[in-house]
Amino acid sequence: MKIKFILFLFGLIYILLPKKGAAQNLRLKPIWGNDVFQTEKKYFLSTKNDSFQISLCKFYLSEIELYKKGNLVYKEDNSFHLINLNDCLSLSFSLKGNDLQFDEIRMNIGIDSSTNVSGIMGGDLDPIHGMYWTWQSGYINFKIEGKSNSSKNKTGSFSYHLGGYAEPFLCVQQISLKTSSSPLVNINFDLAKFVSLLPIQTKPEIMSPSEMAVMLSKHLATCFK
Amino acid sequence: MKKTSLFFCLMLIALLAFKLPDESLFKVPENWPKPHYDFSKNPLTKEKIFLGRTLFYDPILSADNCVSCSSCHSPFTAFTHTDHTLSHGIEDRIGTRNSPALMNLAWQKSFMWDGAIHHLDAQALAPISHPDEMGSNIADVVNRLQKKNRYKKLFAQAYGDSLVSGERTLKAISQFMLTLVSSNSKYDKVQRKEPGFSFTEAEAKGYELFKSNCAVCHAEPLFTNNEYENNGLEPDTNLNDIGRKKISQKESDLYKFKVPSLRNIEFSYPYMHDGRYQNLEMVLFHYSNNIFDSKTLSKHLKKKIQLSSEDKSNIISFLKTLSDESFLRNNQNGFPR
Ligand code: HEC
Ligand code: HEC
Repeated sequence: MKIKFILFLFGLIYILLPKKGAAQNLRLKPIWGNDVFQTEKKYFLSTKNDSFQISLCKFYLSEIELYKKGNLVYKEDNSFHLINLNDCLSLSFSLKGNDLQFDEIRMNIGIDSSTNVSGIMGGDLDPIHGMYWTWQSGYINFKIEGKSNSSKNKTGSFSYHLGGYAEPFLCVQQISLKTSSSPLVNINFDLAKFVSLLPIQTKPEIMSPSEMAVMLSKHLATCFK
Repeated sequence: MKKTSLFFCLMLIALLAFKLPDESLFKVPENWPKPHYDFSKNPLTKEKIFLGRTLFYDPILSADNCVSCSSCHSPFTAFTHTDHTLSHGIEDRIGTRNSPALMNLAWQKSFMWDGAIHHLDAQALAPISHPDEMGSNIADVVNRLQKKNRYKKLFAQAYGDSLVSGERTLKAISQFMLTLVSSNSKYDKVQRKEPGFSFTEAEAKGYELFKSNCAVCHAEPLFTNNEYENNGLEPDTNLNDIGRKKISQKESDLYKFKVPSLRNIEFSYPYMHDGRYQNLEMVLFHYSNNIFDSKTLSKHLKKKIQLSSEDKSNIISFLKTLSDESFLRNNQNGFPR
C-alpha cells in the first residue's frame, strides 16, 4: 500500500518536473497598434474616420522553418496551422524540436501551390473549416470579415477572402522574422496596419483570386513582426 | 541465400508500393494512357468505394434532404440528367449549366465545363455548396453524417474508425467516381479486334470522317484532348456564360469550354454546356452550317466543314458505336443495396 503510494508520488513528481529540452512554442499575438486586439470590438483608424469591427479573421501559417545565421536548423513536418482569432487555442502551437538555437523564423502566410493542387487534405486543411473555395478549387489563405461605417454594402459589411494558387494570382507569401532563441516566441500581427490599406469604400468584398488579392496579400505579409 | 531472399522481399515491397490500384477495382483498359489521378494519395478499397457509392446516392448531402448527386447524374444515362436542359437543384432552382456525363474521370485533368475544379477530390464541394444545387456545406454534411449509425458503421469499415471528416467524405466519393470506367463499347471491341465485332459500312465511313473532322479535339481513345476550345456556339446573351475566361481571366479564353468526351453520347442529350441541342442531328448541323465566328473560334473550325447529309448520318452511326451497354447497366454503379 505504502509502496504504491510512494511510487504514485514519484510518478506525479516526474510528470510535474520541467522536462529538459523544453519544446519550442510559437504564439501569435493579434494587436491593434499598441493594444491587444479583440474581435467584435469597435476600432477607429486615427488617420481616417473609418470604424472597424472585425467578427472573423482566419488564416493559414505554413512551412515553418528556423534559421541560425542563415542556415536551416529546423523544418517542421506537415507544417500547416489554421489560425482563428476567435479561438485562442489556435493561436499557439509547439514545434517538435527541442532546445533549438536560432535567430530567424521563416514561414508562409497561406498555402503553397503544390499543396493546393494535391487534392483535399485533412486536419487543419480539411475543407470543413471553410477555408476552401467551392465553386473554383483552391485554399483560401486569409479571411477577414466584419463591419465598417465606410463600407458601401447595405449592411455595412466587408469581407476579404484572399487566395489563388496559380500565376498571375499566386497569393502565398513567405515572411522572415528576426528573433532570438527562446522557448516561447511571440509573433505580433498588427490588424490596424492591415485594415488601413483595405479598399473598404470602393471594394468591400473580394472573394476570388485577382490582382487586388495579390496586392493585399503582399501588404498582409508586412503586418507580422 | 539470405541476401537474395531479402532482395526479393524488397523488390516485392517496391512493386506493391508502386503498382496501380487493385486490378479488380480499377483497370487501365488496353492501349489507354496512364490515368491522371494520383491513386497513391487515395488508394482504392472495396469498403471506401462502397461508402462513396452510398454517399453518391444519398440526399443527406443536400440542405433539404431531397437532392443527391444521382438526381443530376443518373447511372442509366451515363450519369447525366437528360430531361432537363439545365440541371435542377434544390427547391427547383435552375442551375446555369447542363450536367456532364460522369465517366473515365481518372483521366481528366480538370472538371466542370470551364475547368473551375482542378482535382476530383474537390469536385463534390461545388454542388454541395452551390445555392442552386444542393445548398448545404461540407461542415453541415459531416455533422449530419456523424449522427447516423449507418454512416458510423460505413466509415469504420472504410477507415478503421468511425470519425467522419470532410477529407474522408470527399475522398470516398472520388473513389466511387473513379470506378466509373466506360471502355466496352462496340468501338472498343472493334479496336481490340475481338472476334465477331466489326464496323458496318456506315460506321466505318463515319469513323474516317470523324478522324478527319472531329478527332483533333475529340481525340481517341478518351474522345477528348482535355483542352479548352471555342467550337463556334453563338453566345447565349441571357446566360452570358463566358466559359474558361471566368477562371483564367484571359481574354483569349473567352467562350472556350472543356472539350467533352463523346463516349455514350447517344444517351447524354441534351448537348453542349447549356444543353442547347436536343439530338445529334442538330449537333452535326451546327458543325457543318452554323459555326459562329469570333476572335477565339478554334482554328480547326475556321474552315467550313463540308458534310453531305449522308456523311452526317454516317458520323452519327459511328458516334453510336461509342455506347457502352455494359457500363450503363452495371449494377456495381447503381443504387447501393
Ligand atoms: C443540381 C444538379 C447537380 C447535382 C445535385 C450534382 N451535380 Fe455534378 N454537375 C452538375 C452540373 C450542372 C455540372 C457542370 C457544371 C459546370 O460545368 O459548371 C456538374 C459537374 C460535375 C462533375 C464534373 C464532370 C466533368 O466532366 O467535368 C462531377 C465529377 C460531378 N458533377 C460530380 C457530382 C457529385 C459527386 C455530386 C454529389 C455530391 C454532384 N455532382 C451533384 C449538376 C449537378
Ligand atoms: C475545335 C475543337 C472541336 C472540334 C473540331 C469538334 N468539336 Fe465537338 N465539341 C468541342 C467543344 C469545346 C465542345 C463543348 C462546347 C460547349 O458545350 O460549349 C464540343 C461538344 C460536342 C458535342 C456535345 C457533347 C456533350 O456532351 O454535350 C458533340 C456531340 C460533339 N462536340 C461532336 C463533334 C463532332 C461530331 C465533331 C466533328 C464534326 C466535332 N464535335 C468537332 C470541340 C470540338
